[in-house]
Amino acid sequence: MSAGLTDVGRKRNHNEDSYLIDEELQLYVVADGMGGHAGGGTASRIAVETIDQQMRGAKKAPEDPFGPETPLQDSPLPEFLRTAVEKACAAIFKTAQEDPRLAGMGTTVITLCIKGENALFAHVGDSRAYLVRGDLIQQVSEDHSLVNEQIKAGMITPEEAKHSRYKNIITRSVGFEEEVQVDVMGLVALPGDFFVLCSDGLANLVEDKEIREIVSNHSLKDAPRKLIELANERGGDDNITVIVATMVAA
Amino acid sequence: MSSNESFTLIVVPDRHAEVKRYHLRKVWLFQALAAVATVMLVGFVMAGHYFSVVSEAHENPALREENLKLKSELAVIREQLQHVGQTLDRVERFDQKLRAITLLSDPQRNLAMGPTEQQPLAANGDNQFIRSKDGEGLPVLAQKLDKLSAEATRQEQSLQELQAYFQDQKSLLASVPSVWPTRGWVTSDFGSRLDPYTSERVMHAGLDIAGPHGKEIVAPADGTVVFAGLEGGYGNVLVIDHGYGIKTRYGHLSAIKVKAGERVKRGDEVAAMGNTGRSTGPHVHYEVRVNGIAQNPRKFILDEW
Repeated sequence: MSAGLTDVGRKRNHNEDSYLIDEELQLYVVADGMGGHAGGGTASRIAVETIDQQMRGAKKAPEDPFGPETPLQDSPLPEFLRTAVEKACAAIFKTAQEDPRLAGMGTTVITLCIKGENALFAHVGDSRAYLVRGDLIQQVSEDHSLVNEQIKAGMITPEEAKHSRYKNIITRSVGFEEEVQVDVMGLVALPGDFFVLCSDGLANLVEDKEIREIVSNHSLKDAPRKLIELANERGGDDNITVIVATMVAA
Repeated sequence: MSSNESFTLIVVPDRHAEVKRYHLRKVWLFQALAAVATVMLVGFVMAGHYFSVVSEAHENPALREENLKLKSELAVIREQLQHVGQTLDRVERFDQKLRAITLLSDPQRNLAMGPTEQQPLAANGDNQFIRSKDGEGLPVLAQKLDKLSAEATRQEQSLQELQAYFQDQKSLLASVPSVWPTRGWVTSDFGSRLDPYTSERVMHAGLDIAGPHGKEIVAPADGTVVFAGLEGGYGNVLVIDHGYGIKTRYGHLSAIKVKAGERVKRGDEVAAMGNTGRSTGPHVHYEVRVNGIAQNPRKFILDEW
């Protein structure tokens, strides 16, 4: 079960974010494209389409990762998700090579696939995945951004990072180069857990605990709209995309 | 009597022999008497001196024995002094660690988060109090004692300050990962190392503690589990948030025994050692991050001096 929404925001004139909700596979993707006038939107669109095709193809393949349920540790899904994002990377890169107007485009990708009680993620860039469980909200993905590297190196504090002029610089992206290093994560979901996937248009303007409050206090259907409204109230600097998903009770 | 007076000594033999006469001057007689008296005087003085020396010689073994005793006592004192010096060294290091912990949350000190570097002096456990050569005299020993007592006073003040501080900060103390999460061999320390897979020099942001597969891992401080799951090359990963910006991370686990959102106490069993992810044998990758910055976990561990 899920709900998703994307919004252009208040400052941009077109939306370069794309998202995918595939309830059949319980596959959710948010991609935040960048580069050129047409490039960003194209890159994020190719990313979500390629990932969906790849995962649908995998379901038909002999070693179907959507088959019998496995313990988290033995789940084949992370590797399929990784491959799907790598294919998306190659597809975007190839398209950019063929059309000079799209040269240099790329996109972030945050992917969630829920299978039984396992929630699996693949991630590149600074779009985020959060787990909301009771009073806890935890960012599952680690941003591939310059400011996050600076924080880890002790050069700036997380507080300074929020106002850094470099906060839009990402250190990895899908499609900018032919290959990309994809992070995969997984966790065991509990009934009542929510997963929030979002682009940095939300994460930069809304605090983690505010996301938790809105997701906990609104219906699944309303939560993405409420989150986007809050980000827009605060300036809506960038395109805003949000998916909220929850585990379907077995 | 004039000096020319003289005696004649006549020696008359018993039989038919000539009588012998010896002329003796009186002056000679006096001279001879004086000589004898002088000799006797000298003799008395020497005898007296001799007896006094003999009696002193009797005292000598006793003195030697006492000397030996004193020497060995001195050695014992020197050893004790060295011991006190070492203890003070340890106290100082402990104090530094405690101070490091206070820096985590004390904005008044206006310092960066995270512990300060240990002084090299204390780090190698070899300072001026410990080095002692034989033959160092009492003045040197006295000097050392002065230094030690000054040092002890300083430490006492420092620890009193800390005690007062920690009385206000019990929850901070409970949140600091101050014990080993598991016991084993530290096969790779914090810092720059050669990657076991690629042999490239990379930063190793944690401690690798090796042990038997399935060995229990406990929470080194109170906190909330914020992540329990898979994370790429780290295999099964557990992350505990202890508050005050402190998070601990455990990688390559064979099992995770807590769930995200759960509260844990120091000493609670939270996971088991394993070989999941990019790992060459059963071990735990143990990381401490303060405000996102990886720190040497050893700096927080108080049960190791």
